[in-house]
Amino acid sequence: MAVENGAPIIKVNNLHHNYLRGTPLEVVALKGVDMEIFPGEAVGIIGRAGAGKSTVVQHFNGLIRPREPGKVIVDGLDLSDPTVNIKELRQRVGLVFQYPEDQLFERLLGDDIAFGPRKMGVPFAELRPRVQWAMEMVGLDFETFKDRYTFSLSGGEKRKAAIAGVLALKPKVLILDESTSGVDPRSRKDLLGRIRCLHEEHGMTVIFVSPNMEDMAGLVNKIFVMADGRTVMSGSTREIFAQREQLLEYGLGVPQVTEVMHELKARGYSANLSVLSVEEAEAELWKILSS
Amino acid sequence: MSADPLIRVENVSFSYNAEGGNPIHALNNVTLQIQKGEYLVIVGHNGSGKSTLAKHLNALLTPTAGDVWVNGWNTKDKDHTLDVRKTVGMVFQIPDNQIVATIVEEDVAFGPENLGVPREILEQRVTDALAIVGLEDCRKRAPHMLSAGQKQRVAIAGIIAMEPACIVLDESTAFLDPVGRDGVLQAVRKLHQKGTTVVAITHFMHEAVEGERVAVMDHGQIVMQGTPREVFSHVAELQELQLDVPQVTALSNAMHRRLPDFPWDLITVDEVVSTVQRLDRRGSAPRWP
Amino acid sequence: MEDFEFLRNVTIGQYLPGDSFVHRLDPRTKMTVMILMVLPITFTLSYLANLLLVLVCLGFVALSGISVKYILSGVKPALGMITILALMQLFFYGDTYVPANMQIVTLFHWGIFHVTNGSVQLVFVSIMRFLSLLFLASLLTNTTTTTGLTHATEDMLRPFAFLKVPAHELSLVLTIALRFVPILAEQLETIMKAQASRGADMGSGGKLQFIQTTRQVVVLVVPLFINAFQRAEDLVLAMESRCYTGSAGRTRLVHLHMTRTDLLTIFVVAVFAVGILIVPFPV
Repeated sequence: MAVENGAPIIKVNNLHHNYLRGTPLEVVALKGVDMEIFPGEAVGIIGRAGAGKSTVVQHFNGLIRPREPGKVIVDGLDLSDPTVNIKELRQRVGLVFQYPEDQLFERLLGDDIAFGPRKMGVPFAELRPRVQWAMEMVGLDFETFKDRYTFSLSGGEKRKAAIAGVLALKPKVLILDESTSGVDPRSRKDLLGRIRCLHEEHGMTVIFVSPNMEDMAGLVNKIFVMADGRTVMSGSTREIFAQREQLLEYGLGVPQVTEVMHELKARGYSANLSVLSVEEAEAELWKILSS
Repeated sequence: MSADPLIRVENVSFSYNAEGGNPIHALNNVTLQIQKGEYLVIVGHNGSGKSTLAKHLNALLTPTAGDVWVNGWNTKDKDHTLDVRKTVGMVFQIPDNQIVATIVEEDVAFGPENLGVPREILEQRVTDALAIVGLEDCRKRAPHMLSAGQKQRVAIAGIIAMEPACIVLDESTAFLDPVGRDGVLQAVRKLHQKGTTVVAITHFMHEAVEGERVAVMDHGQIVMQGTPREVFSHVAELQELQLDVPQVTALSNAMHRRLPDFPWDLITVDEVVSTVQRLDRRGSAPRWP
Repeated sequence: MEDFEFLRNVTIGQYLPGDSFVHRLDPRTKMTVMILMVLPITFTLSYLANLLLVLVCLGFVALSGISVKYILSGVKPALGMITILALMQLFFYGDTYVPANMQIVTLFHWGIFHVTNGSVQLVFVSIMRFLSLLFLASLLTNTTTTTGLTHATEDMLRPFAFLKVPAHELSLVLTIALRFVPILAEQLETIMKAQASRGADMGSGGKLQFIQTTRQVVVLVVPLFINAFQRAEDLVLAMESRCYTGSAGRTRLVHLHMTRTDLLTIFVVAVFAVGILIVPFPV
């Protein structure tokens, strides 16, 4: 089942969710979320801790199923239908968690990366090229690393391996739920570059959840802002970061260079608030100062 | 400047054998002095040796060559290990893995309890420590109900309650979100104002701004030292060392290349904005929308 | 469909804040009461005595404000196994189990199935014993904070120091274990979700969920153990940095206080427990 042209690849309607329902510890996580994500987009979800971001994305690969009246439709599959082929869904939607290296279990690295495709029924002959492709995508040399002991690798290498394990499924949609936290800035930049490559050159739909606004600005075209279990803002990256006051109310910030523009505007300069990168900021400041 | 440094690292080298028998030289002839009351930040990429150096400061590790002196005691002297650890407290990366008790106030009391602090004083120590980190309201709560940033502050309070002369934060903000990080930095600032020596290990360059002195490490050695501004100005070298600079610093660097009058070493948003205003006034009138 | 929220089914051990009479008792009182009650529960065989015990335990639960439904919901996952065991007791223990003061009266006999008045009594008494113990255990843990439990354990073990019982160390082990149970439970849930996301079969529901192949279990157990060991290593460094060297020379922040109510409660329960054991019940 595929998606007709022009239709969203993920459609969320009025989604609600409670954790530990029916116990004294019940807590409401989602209070009516609406989202539409189209094929090939790079989308960001931002929000304070507890806003419900992880809860929402865990619906996209069926870990959590929607309850009435909420609806979640992913790549043509309606997740309210109990007969939906969940395994098929999980091949198409790859979800990478925070600290993904915690999921590694095989003794040899290559085996761990092959686990996903094997479980999905990829024929034996195709496993090796899959693993090789996935490893190249994250920057782990196939020959060097495939037979290394998983648990002797550095933190950064393990992280890459875990992500490769999901990429090896060759999903249409890749979700990264705070998967870049805890790595040093250089590795994070490298990882983001590779994700950008997967989006731009391989056409993967990317959903990126992160507390780092500079990373967001460099990767996504569209942002959903969540607060208290609801989507409260949505729009293009530039539109969202131009609304700093609104974001501050939700406990969020903007990239540092965008912040500079906002401050300049507050002091009477006609600064362009949709600046997202150092290069754009440089051009804008030059414009301001050279006239 | 006070006479004797609180901590003296003299020609310290540290090596160990990794799996497969290859020796790893984590520290290579490092010499460093840490004065009482200063705020030192040590930066470096992963593998530069900064965490290894941190563990030498409270005798969790002892050098394979060279000496580390804390308040006059040699860290190799097993008779004074407790004295060293009373003087230099350490906070680690992962908040959960430092908290022992199931209720905040009891975890904060753990350190002073170990030191045999009498009961009447224990209560006060816990109260004071929680006040410094801003967690008085969480005194009776269970740690696993707190956010990561709050947990890390509980860990810091646990060290503060021991009243050490120096606190070492080994990448304590690495696993926190921006809100959590701010909370921790605020608590540390307060602590430093009270006179505690602070040594912060981090790979986040924008945290290096907090310190009075920054030391940059690479391959087990200190390759650069100075004030944050001095160190940041060497953007090219820093990038060679796989470190990053805050966006505003990269911006001011770029602007400097176009306009020599624009300083190259700005480190905060406010500085950039003020500079633009200053330069603009010198030129034409400010533009109005 | 998969259920990753198994925290939901764990009712024993979950502290539920409250201000009832039971909540306010010293944890040592509650532990002592539990120990005292376990004696008659274990040793009485009569229907009436056990019924009385269940009712008394229910009374405690009522005093605490904890919902009985909540406590009983913790049994749900084990219900299948319990039913099987009860049936086995009923059918196969007929000729081996009869209370001392009774005659064997066969109620039903067919091949190896042998139901007697004894086995019927065994089943009912077992159920009542189970309920009493369930209520007591839930009561203790639902109304007492973990620190209350560990301090009570330490205090109650201290008198045995002459037997070289390391009271403080044991209580610290208990504290750390309790502290990390929710952390590791969350970790397990995350690992399950991550592996399920890669296509691993996470036991798609059903009462026979506990039958898993070794392979499926490895996917969960290996990462969990590695994680647990890493945490343990970190914790050791943190504890050493905080000058932990065992119980020698340690002081303590929290001290428990017994009130008159506590002593009275223990006395009343003791009398009751001894009474049940001594009084000859007709049935």
